[in-house]
Amino acid sequence: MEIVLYITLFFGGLAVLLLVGLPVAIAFTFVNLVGVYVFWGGAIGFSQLILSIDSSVSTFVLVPVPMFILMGTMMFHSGVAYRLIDVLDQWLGRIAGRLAVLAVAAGALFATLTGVAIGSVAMLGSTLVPDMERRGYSRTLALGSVLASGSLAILIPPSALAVILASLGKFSVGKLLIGIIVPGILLACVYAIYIVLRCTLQPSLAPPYAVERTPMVPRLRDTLIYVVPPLSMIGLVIGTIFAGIATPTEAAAIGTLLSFVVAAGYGKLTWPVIKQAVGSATSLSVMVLLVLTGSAAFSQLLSFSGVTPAITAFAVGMDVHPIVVLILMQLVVMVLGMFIEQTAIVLVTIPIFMPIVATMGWDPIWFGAIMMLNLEMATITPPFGLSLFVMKGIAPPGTTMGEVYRAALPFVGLNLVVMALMILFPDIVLWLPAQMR
Amino acid sequence: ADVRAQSASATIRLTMVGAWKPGTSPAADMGIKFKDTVNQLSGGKVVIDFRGASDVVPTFDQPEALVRGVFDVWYGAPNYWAGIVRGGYLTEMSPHDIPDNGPGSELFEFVNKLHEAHGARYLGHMTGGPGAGNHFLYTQKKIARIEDLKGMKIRVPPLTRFFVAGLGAEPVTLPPGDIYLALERGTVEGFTWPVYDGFTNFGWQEVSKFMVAHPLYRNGISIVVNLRKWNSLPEDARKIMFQAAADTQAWSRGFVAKQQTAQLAKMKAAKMEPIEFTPAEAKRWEDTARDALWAHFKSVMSAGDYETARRLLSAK
Amino acid sequence: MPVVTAWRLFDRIIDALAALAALLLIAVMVATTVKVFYRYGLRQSLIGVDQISGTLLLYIAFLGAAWVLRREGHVTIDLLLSHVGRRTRLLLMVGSSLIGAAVCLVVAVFGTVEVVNSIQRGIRIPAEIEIPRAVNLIVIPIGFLLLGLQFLRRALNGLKRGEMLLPPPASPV
Ligand code: NA
Ligand code: NA
Repeated sequence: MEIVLYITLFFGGLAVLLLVGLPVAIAFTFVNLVGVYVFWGGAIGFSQLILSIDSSVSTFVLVPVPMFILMGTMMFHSGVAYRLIDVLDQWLGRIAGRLAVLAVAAGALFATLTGVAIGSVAMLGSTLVPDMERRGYSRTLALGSVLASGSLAILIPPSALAVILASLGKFSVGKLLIGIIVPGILLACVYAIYIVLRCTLQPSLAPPYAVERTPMVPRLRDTLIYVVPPLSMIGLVIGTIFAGIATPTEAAAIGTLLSFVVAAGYGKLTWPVIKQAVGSATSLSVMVLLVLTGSAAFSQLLSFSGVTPAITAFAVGMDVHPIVVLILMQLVVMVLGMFIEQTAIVLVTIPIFMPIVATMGWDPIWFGAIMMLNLEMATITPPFGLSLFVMKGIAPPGTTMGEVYRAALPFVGLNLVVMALMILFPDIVLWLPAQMR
Repeated sequence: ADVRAQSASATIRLTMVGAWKPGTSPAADMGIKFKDTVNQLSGGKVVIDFRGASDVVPTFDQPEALVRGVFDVWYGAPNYWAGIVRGGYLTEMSPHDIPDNGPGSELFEFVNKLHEAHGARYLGHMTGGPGAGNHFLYTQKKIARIEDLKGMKIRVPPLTRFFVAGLGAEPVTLPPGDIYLALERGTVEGFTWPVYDGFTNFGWQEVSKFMVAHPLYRNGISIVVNLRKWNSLPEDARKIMFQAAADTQAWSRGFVAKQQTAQLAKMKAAKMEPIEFTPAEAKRWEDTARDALWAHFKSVMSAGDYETARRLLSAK
Repeated sequence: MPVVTAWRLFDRIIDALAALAALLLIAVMVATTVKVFYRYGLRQSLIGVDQISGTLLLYIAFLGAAWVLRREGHVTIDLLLSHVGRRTRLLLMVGSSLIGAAVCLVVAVFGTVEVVNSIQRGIRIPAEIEIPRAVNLIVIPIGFLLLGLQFLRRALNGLKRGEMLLPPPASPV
């Protein structure tokens, strides 16, 4: 019963503070102050909280977050993104909702660069969302497509989370990395199909504005001038990873520096552009990092107080049909995912889950891939998905949290559909790794 | 109701946090073994509750949290204390069967003295015998001599950075999650890791080629207790905990050796090759490793402590 | 010193610290690229760059915190706020700003205590370069102090002028 009290205090307290308008980072900090006082032994807990704040963000692993934010603002303020999208628009012709489809494609491409969803969301959100707004796209479609495609970063390798999950679960890292490729691509395709269908049925979501048909020669010239350089920049960055020059974490910084170079190439690296791009990026980075300082300690307190283990144990302790056990396990990950950072979820649940996976005779690669999809979804699940906060921070002025939530929900639904497909047809996961030997 | 209240008050409850989750690493299993041994030896009178690992307190904040009393008992790599107890992890260079010679020995008391000065009670360093449970170095190229490592990019944890730099190799820092891809792509050309500690759990055998079969520093765990809490414990409870520490040290020797053998078999099955130096080169290897860390210790320990440490750790 | 002048000085300070945070952001980008260049191009390692980059992230977060609040750039949940009347909204904003100020000032106090404690005990970071932990920690109370003061000012503005006279919301990107 203590646990129920804690859950009420943690989540109820947080909800009230958020609803009265306290910034997310500070609402977390308030709950953490009370939490450390209770669970970490009174005033000594406050001192320990200071250390936790330091540890939560002073890590090189997070470097891609501000880097991708900066890359996005630089591409936006220099106009590089706008010209790029303009020309791609020419090629995409009359596909309904094509900019949203483009967002999904860009998200999938970006996912090969990074395993950090919030970095990806920030990058795509700061470039594509203003553009979609300008062309009269409905806000929820614009926000939703970017949120969803950004979270592909977790599912499409490289993915540090998959490495952590497989090594904790003691199954093949390599096979899990291969096993999540097909679900990742499938998910991207499902997103794209949904967008096209929805925009065809409901044209008001993405008004079919007239695209000036540029003749082939100027169009090719535009492509050469405005598409090739930014895309080669991304190609170059992916190249540094594949050639073993840089790790994905490091490549984020190199790519960002290259975005400055590309902007300079167009003669757009002027003082006002630098000031605006770096200023916006600093503001967004501060916002995101500060939320992380609060959410990390919150997640630690949930585990320390026994709330997280209790929720996990409750689900796996039931005597029901195996498929129900699987669904309950995924439900736990889903619920935890609404509140807790993904690595922490993996650390808490995997040691409890793996013995059950073994007992049931499930293929751990299959189970791991389903769990990865679930963790990917967690970044965009209301109310506390981190990507949602980032999106709220970079969305056009006047965007409400309600809009962000509504934007995310259809894509959460699509995630569930793909997850169901993976459960029903394990080969979606297992076929590709089986080709490896 | 009275009887129940009495038996409840007779039970001493201690909370424990470890550097890694049990079931995820053999090192963690040693910490849990200690906890279980205490619970067992005391017949339920001293109960240690395990609360979690980095999911409850970030790993490198744990030593300070222990000293503060956020929790009572800790396990993890001895060198995680480097920021608080300068040189307190000297038993990672121990030539002795039991790294600290066990409770009551001069070495044990010395290590404890270093910890006690910072509010921590040291209970022991658990690992395999010399050569089992150690850090080893893995390379993508076959080498015959120490000099062949010159210029190679080797991923290091803080512990082995002095050694690797001393070899003329390039120490590279990467998060553990990046090691797999970095090896596969050639971003690094080698790394160090304790082989027994779940080497193949990370899938590294799929992407790494050679293992230098000569050990570096001792790995394993130390068990540390909050000093105030320790001093508040009744004498019999402390005795039980000493006994549990000694038992766990004894148990760990076989456990770690078994883990290491199992890991080596999996690595061999994945076609990883051991590199065996000549005996002279092997000795140079181990001496170079030790000298590199001693040089660091000399710079961080008081002259007196450093001399004592060298004396107590000289081979028999 | 008149109150207005004091707040103007405060503005100067948070502007300067935000500019520093922006510079550090660039520094992380350049340092990481240079590190890769050294390792791959020159086959030399720059040990400590990763650790310092991590520390810089902490600095960026806290040096910029108050400035971001002034431009209303911290993410808030407006589910309730967007559905209430003007007066209630004002009341909630003043109230939450006061809570924010209290939380930040409490953390600033305990942060200061912890910095002093860490220096006195000689705690170091057990990483590539063993610098004192206080080098990292010190920016936390500084950041929370300024953030707390900005919250206070936000509440005072609301009370004094009967509305939240905020600068127009900063363009997010
Ligand atoms: Na990825
Ligand atoms: Na979430």
